[in-house]
Amino acid sequence: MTERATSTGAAGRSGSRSSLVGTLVRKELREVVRDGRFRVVGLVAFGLLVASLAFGLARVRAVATERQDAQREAEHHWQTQDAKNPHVAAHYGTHVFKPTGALPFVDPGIEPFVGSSAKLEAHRRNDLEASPALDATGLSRFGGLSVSAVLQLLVPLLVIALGFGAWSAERERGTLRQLASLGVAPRVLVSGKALGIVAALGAVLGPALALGAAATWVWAPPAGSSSLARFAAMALSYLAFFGVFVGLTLAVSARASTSRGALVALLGFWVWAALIVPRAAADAAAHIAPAPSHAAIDAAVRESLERGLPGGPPREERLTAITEAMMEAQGWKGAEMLMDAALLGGIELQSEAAYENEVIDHHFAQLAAAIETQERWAEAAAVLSPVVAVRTLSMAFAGTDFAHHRRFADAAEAHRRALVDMLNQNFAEKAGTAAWDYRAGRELWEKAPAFRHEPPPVAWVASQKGSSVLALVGWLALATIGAWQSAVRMRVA
Amino acid sequence: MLEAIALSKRYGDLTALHGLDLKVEAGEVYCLLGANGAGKTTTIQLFLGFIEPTSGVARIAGQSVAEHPLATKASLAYIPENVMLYPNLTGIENLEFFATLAGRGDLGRKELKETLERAGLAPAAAERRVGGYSKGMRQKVGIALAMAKKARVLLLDEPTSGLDPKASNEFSTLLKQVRDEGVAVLMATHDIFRSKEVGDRVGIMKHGRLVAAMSMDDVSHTDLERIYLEHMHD
Amino acid sequence: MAMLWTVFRVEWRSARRERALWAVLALFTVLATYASVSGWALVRTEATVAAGAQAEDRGRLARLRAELVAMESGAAPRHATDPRSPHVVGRDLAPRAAVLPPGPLAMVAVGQRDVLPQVVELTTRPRVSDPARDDGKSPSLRASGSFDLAFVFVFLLPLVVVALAYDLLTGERERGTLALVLAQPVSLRTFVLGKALSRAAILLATVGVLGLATPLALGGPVATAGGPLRLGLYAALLVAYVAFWFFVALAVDAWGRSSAANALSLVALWLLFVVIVPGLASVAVDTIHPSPSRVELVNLAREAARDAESTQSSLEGNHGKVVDPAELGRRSIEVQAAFEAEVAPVLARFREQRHRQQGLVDRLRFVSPAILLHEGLSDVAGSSVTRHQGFAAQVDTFHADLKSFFFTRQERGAPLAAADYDAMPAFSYREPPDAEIAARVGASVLALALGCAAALAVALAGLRRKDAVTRSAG
Repeated sequence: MTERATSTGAAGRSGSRSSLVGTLVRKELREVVRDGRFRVVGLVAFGLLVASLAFGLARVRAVATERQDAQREAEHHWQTQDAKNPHVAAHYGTHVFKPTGALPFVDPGIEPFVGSSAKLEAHRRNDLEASPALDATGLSRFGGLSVSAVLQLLVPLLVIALGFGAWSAERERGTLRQLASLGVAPRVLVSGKALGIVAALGAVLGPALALGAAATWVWAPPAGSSSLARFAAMALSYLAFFGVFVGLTLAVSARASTSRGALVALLGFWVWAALIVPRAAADAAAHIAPAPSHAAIDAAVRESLERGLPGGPPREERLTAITEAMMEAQGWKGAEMLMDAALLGGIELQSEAAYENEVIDHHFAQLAAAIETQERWAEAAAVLSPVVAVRTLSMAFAGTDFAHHRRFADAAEAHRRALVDMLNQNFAEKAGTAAWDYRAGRELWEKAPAFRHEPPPVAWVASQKGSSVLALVGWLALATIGAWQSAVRMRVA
Repeated sequence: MLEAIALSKRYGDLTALHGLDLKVEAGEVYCLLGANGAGKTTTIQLFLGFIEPTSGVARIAGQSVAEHPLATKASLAYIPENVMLYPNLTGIENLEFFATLAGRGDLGRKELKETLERAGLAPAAAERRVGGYSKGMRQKVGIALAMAKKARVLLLDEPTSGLDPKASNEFSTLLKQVRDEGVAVLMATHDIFRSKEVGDRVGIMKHGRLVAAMSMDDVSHTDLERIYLEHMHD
Repeated sequence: MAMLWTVFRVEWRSARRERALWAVLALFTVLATYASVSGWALVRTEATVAAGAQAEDRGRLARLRAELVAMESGAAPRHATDPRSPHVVGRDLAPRAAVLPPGPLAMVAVGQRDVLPQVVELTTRPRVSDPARDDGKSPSLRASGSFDLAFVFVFLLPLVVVALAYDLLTGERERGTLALVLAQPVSLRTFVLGKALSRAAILLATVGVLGLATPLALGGPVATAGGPLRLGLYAALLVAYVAFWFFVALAVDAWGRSSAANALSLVALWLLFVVIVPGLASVAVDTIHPSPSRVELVNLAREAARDAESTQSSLEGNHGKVVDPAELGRRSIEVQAAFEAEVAPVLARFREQRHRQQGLVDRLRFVSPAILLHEGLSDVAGSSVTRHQGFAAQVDTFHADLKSFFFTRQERGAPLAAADYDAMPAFSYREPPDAEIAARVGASVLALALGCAAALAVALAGLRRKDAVTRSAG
């Protein structure tokens, strides 16, 4: 069935093309609505979406308040600690707690598997603690019932169920021949079919989307986190994802010789794309690009602290260099300074801290790079499955992926350094003759910077996950072209 | 061999068969003529036990089909309008499959091949996959199955529809052969010409009733056609 | 019965020709093989880590002991690393490794092993919470879950069954061959069951090879104690699960109108049993027995440690002063005891809630065959939360033993001698008795068998209907 239109014909028809598409869409919708099975399935799907949204909101609200309270309590602990030497206070340390992501009730992402609190103390960068995974039961490995799980697993199935017979059933019934004989342009037919599926889907997803937007509005963390923008970006990603399945379903339905064959092929693709590839890719990535454990990194850090960075100058040499640089920068020189034991002690502490930070940066950067490589390998599977692409984007926009987690960990580390620095400075400047007997009190504790962590803007997220965006767009293009081409070259009988 | 006594089938308000009385003896070909929807296929399905009668009884070799579903099938062979076979299997493999289900798993490849040949299927064709067979070739496999089963009763539904004249002729020859071996044949058809050619008796069905029954010796070709059309006309 | 065997044989032979069947089995084989290898790689890593931790432990002790012997014949001790001070050795110098070795069939199911710690480093310091699994895996990958044999069997195997059995009856009807089949002296029930059995046999043979032969070839768990029992339970679980899904597919097929409708119904049932019900169960467990907040625990421990830590820190963080080591030791025991007393009730609450949660999971598992198989495989493989809870309890006991060993010497103010090093407590994990697992898994197999019976009853009822050939696709 190829498009052959004379110029007048085309011009004449283009004016009524929208009403033609409208007619087609109305007929499709009528067929779907009258089918009792679809009413049931649609209701169940909607019910699941609403339920998962409600569960997600309830759980996340509790977690968020808990962490906010914990942060306040930690600050209170810090400020009400006894008077002590500032460096001792640096050992005493404090805790920071990771605020929940921007939209965690839609996609919990990695949150159930990572720690949410960091102990900040002098001389070491600690791993995050309090991972909820320690308390999880075996049931948690079934994926849970989150909004993202329903959208990624169930909705494609719904699209397939709605559309697998789009062309093949018409062919089997004989109505396709009649449609073709009317001289309707393939473009119009495809749009009609596609929009029919989208409209049926919209009846289920539309209200759910509205509810989700309302939830985001209510949930909205403090201004500047662009939650609504993230929600919009996420909605767009999912719409593109559903579009992929609409296109593929139509393409396969046109090509297959029987409805049953179309369904089997589409279900096979769904099993591959939604069940097999995401997990297999994640599993394989861990084998392909193993990263060092935290224990290994800690050991390497300890080693480097004793002997110097691998391939670098030994510890003493490096310390001296740092101290000299620091003294020059501060303008301290000469004999008077050598008599102030506290100042000397303070400088020692600061250069030691600077050296430690160098070592920590070196090794933790290696760890971060290794984990990034793992992530990239897993994300690369987006060329094999659109589900991987949308999953990556969903977690990223929800603020619950590793990039966001790492950002928090780095922010916590920066805060640690600022705090320790402030304390060491105070010791160097104020201790004077008292040296190690110097005690600082509440006025110093209160000077500590408060820890505030905001999720980054949407643009940053999109730039981080450019490859996944590209992959999703690629799939959408493939599906659209596939649906289009199959309709143009379709077997009518 | 084949007997229907006051056989009726009702689907809700629609009556497909009104009290049919029919008898087909061994070595006899009975042709059931009628338009689509007259009840020919319903009759055959009742004899096969594919549907249950609302009232009345269908008997094969004296046994009621409803009471002895499996035993009655042992001695009958059925050739539907379109003999559907497993497309990925060859002719021989298909015959082997159905024959085994029919209880003739003892037949070896050689015997099966011979049976197919007797039914008119070329040996080369028998080794090819059924997916490429024509309608006539598939029908021959069905006939071969009937032969392998050594069936005493043969039920045929529109056997000559869609066959070219050569295949149709071959079919008629085979049928006469089978009849001469003492098989009772019930054939539902609208092919008046073939009916006259192979039939011994004929019955005309309309709206679920047997409106006319006669022996083929008593009518000529033209007579048969005229009677048939007359009945169809009312 | 003889007819059933005939149909079985005939179908077995003709199944050779079905390309789709072999394609599905081939893909399944590839995936299961990868899963086996992946699981085995993890077990090898764990074994290496376990051996490494224990070797490091022993090596450390040996070094300290040698240093002690050398000191007793020469060099002056330095406070910070004196191998004779029970306080210093217990707290810092000689952390002991408590290792949970992988279970006998560990390669089959990863369970919770990828989030729960395998090695716990113990000192005399108080323990509040253990770190999570530290194995260099990105948390995104952990969140996706492992591609182990348990995943392949729980999630993918039912879909393979569906692919093999969704059109046993409807396919014949749609292809048109049913009419000719039922014109033979074979009942519909026998024919369909015979077909189902032949395909089930092919699948079970495949699963048997993939599920058992590959793990045996790679891991050889039969050698360990309880091997044959576990293998038996494992096999029983798999057979029961495959049978369940076959009977469900048969039930849908017997009542179904078309192959396409069957396929959709079966996928919907898969979603229900494998995704939706377990998801709801997980929410139920979290709602009914929520875990106490670990975040709260952090601050609570902080509060309890306030005095302890400030005292300790001021003594240790002060790079200038020297304090009498024996006195330091005695005070620290007191401070620690106070801290532990304050934190103990909270930790007890955690443990209690864990037990209640697991108890609820044990009861809820009967609502879904997927949960039954998943938990059953975790039990058989030794990757379950229950086993880890047992390990945690043993670690607690060991910690108490370790503390008492060092603290008695600390209180006496007596330095350590070489003999003490030889007598130091060492952790060795005691596997729970197999009877526990056998009881739990046995109950799961029974439940699956009941499910089979129910599905089979529905299937047989459907096959008894009289309109098999004439039923239209609607």
